[in-house]
Amino acid sequence: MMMLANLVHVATTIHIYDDNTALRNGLEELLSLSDEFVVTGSYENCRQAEEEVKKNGPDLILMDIDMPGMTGIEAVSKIRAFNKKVYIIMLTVFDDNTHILDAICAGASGYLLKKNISEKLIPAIKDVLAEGASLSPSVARMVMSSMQRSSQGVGYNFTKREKEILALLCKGNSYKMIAASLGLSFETIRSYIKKIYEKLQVHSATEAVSKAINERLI
Amino acid sequence: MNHCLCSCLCALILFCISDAGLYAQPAPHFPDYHVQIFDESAGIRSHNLRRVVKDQRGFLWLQYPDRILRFDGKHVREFLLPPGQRSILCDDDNRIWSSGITGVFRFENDRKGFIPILPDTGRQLSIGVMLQVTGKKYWLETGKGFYEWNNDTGKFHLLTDSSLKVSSPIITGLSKYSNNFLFFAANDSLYRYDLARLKRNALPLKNCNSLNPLSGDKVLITTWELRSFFYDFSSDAITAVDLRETINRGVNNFFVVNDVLSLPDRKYLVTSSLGLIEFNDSSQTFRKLTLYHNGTPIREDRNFYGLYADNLQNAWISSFQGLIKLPKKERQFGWERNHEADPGRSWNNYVRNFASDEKGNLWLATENGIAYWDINNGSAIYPLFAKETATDKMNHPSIRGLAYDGQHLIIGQTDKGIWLYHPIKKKYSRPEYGPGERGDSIRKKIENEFINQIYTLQSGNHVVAARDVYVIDKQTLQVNEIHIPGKKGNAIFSYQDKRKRIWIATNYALYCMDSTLKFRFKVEAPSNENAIRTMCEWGDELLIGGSSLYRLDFQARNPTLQKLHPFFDDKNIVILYTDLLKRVWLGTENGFYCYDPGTHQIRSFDQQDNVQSNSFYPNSIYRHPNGLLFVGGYRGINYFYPEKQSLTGDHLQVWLTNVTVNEDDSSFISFSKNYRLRYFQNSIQFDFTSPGYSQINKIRYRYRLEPVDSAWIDNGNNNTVRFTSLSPGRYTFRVEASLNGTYWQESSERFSFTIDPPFWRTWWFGTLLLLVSAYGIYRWIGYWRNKIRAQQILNYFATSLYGQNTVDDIFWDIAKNCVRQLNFEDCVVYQYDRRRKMLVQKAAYGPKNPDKHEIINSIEIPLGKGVVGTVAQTGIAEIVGNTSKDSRYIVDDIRRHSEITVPITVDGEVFGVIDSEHRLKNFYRKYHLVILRDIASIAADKISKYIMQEKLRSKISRDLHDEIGSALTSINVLSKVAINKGSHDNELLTYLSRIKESSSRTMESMSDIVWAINPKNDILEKMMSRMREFAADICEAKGIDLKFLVPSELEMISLDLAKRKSLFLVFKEAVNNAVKYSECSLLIVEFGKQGDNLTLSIRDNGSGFQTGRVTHGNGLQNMHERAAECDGRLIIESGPGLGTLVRMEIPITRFGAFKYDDVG
Repeated sequence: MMMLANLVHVATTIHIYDDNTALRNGLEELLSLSDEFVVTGSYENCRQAEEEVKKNGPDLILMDIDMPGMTGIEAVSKIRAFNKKVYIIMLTVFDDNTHILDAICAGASGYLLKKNISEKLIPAIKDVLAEGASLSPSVARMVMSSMQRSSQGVGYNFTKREKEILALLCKGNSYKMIAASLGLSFETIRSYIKKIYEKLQVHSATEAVSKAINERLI
Repeated sequence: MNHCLCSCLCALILFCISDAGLYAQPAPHFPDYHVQIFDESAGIRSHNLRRVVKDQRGFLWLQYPDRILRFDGKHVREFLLPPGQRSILCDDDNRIWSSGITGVFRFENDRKGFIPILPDTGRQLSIGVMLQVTGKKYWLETGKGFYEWNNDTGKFHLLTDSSLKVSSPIITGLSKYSNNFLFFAANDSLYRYDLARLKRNALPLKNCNSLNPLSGDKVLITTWELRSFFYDFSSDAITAVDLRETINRGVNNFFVVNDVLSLPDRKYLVTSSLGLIEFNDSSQTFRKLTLYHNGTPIREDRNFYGLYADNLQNAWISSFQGLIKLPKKERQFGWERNHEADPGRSWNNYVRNFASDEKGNLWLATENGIAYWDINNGSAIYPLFAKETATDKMNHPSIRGLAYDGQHLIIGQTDKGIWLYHPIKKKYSRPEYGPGERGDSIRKKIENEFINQIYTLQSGNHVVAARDVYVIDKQTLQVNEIHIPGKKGNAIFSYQDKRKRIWIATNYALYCMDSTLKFRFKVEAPSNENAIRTMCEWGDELLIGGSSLYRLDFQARNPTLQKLHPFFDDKNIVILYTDLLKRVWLGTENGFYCYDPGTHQIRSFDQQDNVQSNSFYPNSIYRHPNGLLFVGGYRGINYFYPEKQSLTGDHLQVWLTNVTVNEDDSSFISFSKNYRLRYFQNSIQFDFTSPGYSQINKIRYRYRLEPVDSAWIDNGNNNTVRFTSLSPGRYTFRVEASLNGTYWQESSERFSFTIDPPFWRTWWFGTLLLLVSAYGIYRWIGYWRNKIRAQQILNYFATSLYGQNTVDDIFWDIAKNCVRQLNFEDCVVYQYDRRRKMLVQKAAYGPKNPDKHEIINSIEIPLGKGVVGTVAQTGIAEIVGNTSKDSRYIVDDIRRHSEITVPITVDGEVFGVIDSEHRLKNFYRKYHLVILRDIASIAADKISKYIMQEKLRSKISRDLHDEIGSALTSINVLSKVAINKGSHDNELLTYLSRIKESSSRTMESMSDIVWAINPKNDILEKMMSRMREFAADICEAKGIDLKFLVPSELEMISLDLAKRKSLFLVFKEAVNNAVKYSECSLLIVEFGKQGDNLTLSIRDNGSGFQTGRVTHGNGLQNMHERAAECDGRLIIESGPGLGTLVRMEIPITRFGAFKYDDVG
């Protein structure tokens, strides 16, 4: 127990939520290859996620978006309701899944396409742990159209530069290509992306509050 | 009878015949009046009948205290009124008024009856009589004074003349008007009000019971003491009437006058408590009158009330016996019949002959002896009876022959011969029969014969008509037989004409003898019995009566009988008499007639005219020198002045009384000009009547409904005629009445009416129907033509849409076809962006986009704005006929004046809107709307199907991907884990790496396929984004410099699924090859447009390869095949050390893109 506690102390504790048992097991194995990560919980659904997270207090959660019963997005909002700290990476098969944006808005820290999982899981986790955020062109596109839609209402308050970056992302440019074309550093682009994430989440929080007021939930 | 009465009687009689002026001798005394009575048998209620009045049409209105009856001689109509009715009046406008305690009533019509007319005061008035005063004024007497009728206001107004004012109430019901004076009782006075001078004077009077002016000065008053007085305003004298000496015979002096009627010569008819009395103002005498009905005196005459004289000078008495008509005296038929109870004085009513004595009194030959009628001294008739067994006096009761020679009455018995009777000596004797055996044989013979007649010749000799014919010499009274040649038959009568020829009739022939009784010639009788029964002269003609009426025609060598009038066939004429007006009177066995051979007019007289019966005795006739004609029949004697009788009877009037439509009381018609009836009001009943009171049963009617009846239709005595099912048209109903069938009187009013045809039979309706049918057919043809055309158009649209597989294609197709097929000027199709609540222009045809598949200025319209926005919001198609009147209209490039907008509703939600505008107002018609709706519906079906398909496809692929993707990821992950677990078996590691790579590739490919088939990724922009992402990803990993060149104009072109897929896969294969095998440091990806083709070139600066050699599996072959699949072309240019260029050209599907963000 002590040893575990020590391990926990140094390694990043991770919860995995995925209904595909083989994949879940694979991920556990993959993460166990590294000493930096300890899978402290692996679940095939997220119905009990709230309690499980409260109980174990993981550093990071790998959350499949499309799960039977309760979707990963719902789970994210519930977790975010009491825990702002834990990193949550959404797992999805499709990068054009609109749920990715919903999940980001709900508080996800990043996302990972399953097709790239074997190569990109560890870099992605590390990236997230380093306060980075990934934003693929398709998701960027969703952000853009979401931004346009809400143009008449409350905006995301993106800056001109943020919008610029988003537009470039939409066209399929990598962070590196954007950095090159804008004459900025890669890290700057990363921090812009992070900012975009935050704005999305803040906006969705205010949206959720106003919605709650409207529906007299508060 | 006392002397006074006699003299007064004589005077009356004198008056009665004075205007006859034909005969010098005074008329015999005969009953005062022969009356007609209308009582219950005529439908009249007799009880309480008080007053009667005749209107201008001839109807009688009978007043009772609580009702009024209208009577036309045959029919009665009753109208109920409140009790207390006191007076009745027919005004000059022929309106009937009734007044009584409770008010005044005026007759309105048969249906409404009498309606109340009140004075102009609200006060409760005690109302008395209404009367007509001079100047056609109508006054109403009330307890408070007099009111006058004002025809203009339709009200009674109080008269304010001070001379009419009294301090105590006027006694109502008493006021009477006479000779310009109004008399009324009030203030214990009798007032006489002078209407000319507006002054009044008074005589004291208390307790007035009745008031009856005789003249302007003299009033007969009865008080409640039941005494009567004469009030004379000329001398201010009041004289009591005392009838104890004359009529009342000392019983008491009560005398209540009910009513007074003025007769000529200052005589008055008075109904009173003592019965009917005549007062002679000249002689100051009262005389009780006796009325005879059916030859019998009316004994009860104390409840006679109102008296009324009509325009025909008939007097009418309202009595409890009924309504009594007193005909104008000279025109009445007297009827004397025996009504004695005492057998000794009871003369026989079968009167067969008359003989007049020198005093003018009459001897009657009857079936039971003879009788003497002292007509100068009363109506008493004294019979002389035969004694069967006697030999010295009349010894056979049945007498037919009777003559008077100044001394003797010559009595011809029907058996036992002839007697001579001396009335003064009261002695009988027998005539002489000549000496010897011859005389004896004549006596014996005649005493066995049936004597029909004894006729006194102008010479004074008498002809006896028996089985044979005899003559009695006036001097010697000797009987001699006259020889009649030819066949023997009973002699019936003899007659001497003014040319002194003597005519003797037998059963078989009529013999003409000269004045000396020498036979001249004979005329054969018609073959039947009773052929010749009587004859008379008519001018120079001789008329013969018998089985018919004949004229003796002397034209032929032998005179013959010529029938005069077929009417008399079989009437069995037994009496003929020509009066001074050359009218022939005919007594028959079937009635009594007057006939004018000149005009052929015939009038019949019957029981209503007081004719004793329908049967008369042959030649039982006597014209008295006083002018009366006596005729004998089976029930007594009739006597009358023939010249005073009218051949036409009373002036006949016929009136339409009622018109009833459809037996419905509500459609009772009061007369007005040209009534209009509806088509179903086609059953019409006419009631008409001819008011008449003397020949009631002889009135005949005939009618004619023009134009249906071409001739008059005889209706007999029926006074109703009903027409049913009359066709529409204009009609006039005419009716005529006649008493004799010869002279017809038409009703003064004809009834015209029009039955309107039902509207469906009017010309305008027919025309309208024709027009409507024509229009209907026109519309029907038009409808079908439009429908067929619409169907054709729809088919065209449907066929055209069949080839379209995307929403954009569908929209473009609609826009194009709307303009081409529907002749629209333009057509724009919008798609509804649900998220943004915007309508986005997707396809346009017309000025906004003349020919190309390209939107120049893509319009976006917010939901609810403009016509398009409204239609998208409501989902209801609209036509705006005039856009300038519709504030919603949004001017685009220029204002167009009409607009049609139809929503495309897919699965219950508005998906898009088809919109077209036209420069003309009201260009769009309903059928445009209908057809456009159908088109929208077809498009919606197509879109719905398309979306379904897409969704399904997408879902299948994603589900597949999700499952297999996860599985492949697991394999990939696990193989990586296996590699990293640190196996040192290189062979195993190689296999594991292959597994990992293979799973990874498979996942990538699958992901690409799924991405490519997603319609959201339809536009090139997205694909390019993905391509860039892919290329960047892979190049960055290898440190290869990537140049990705896309001209901005290409971002909005579309490629269909197959092309997209091919393009992407070719691109991927080429990039992969370059990155993995060429060892290049630079990769240039470049898109371009060459005509309608899209070009893609991927160029690297790598090692290149020999194009003829296939080194990488079938990668290159695959690329060629994929390019060919989508009609594209692939060119690979490479060579060792030259780098590689892969160039692909594919046709562009369409310009303009469709964002699929909102679908699915």
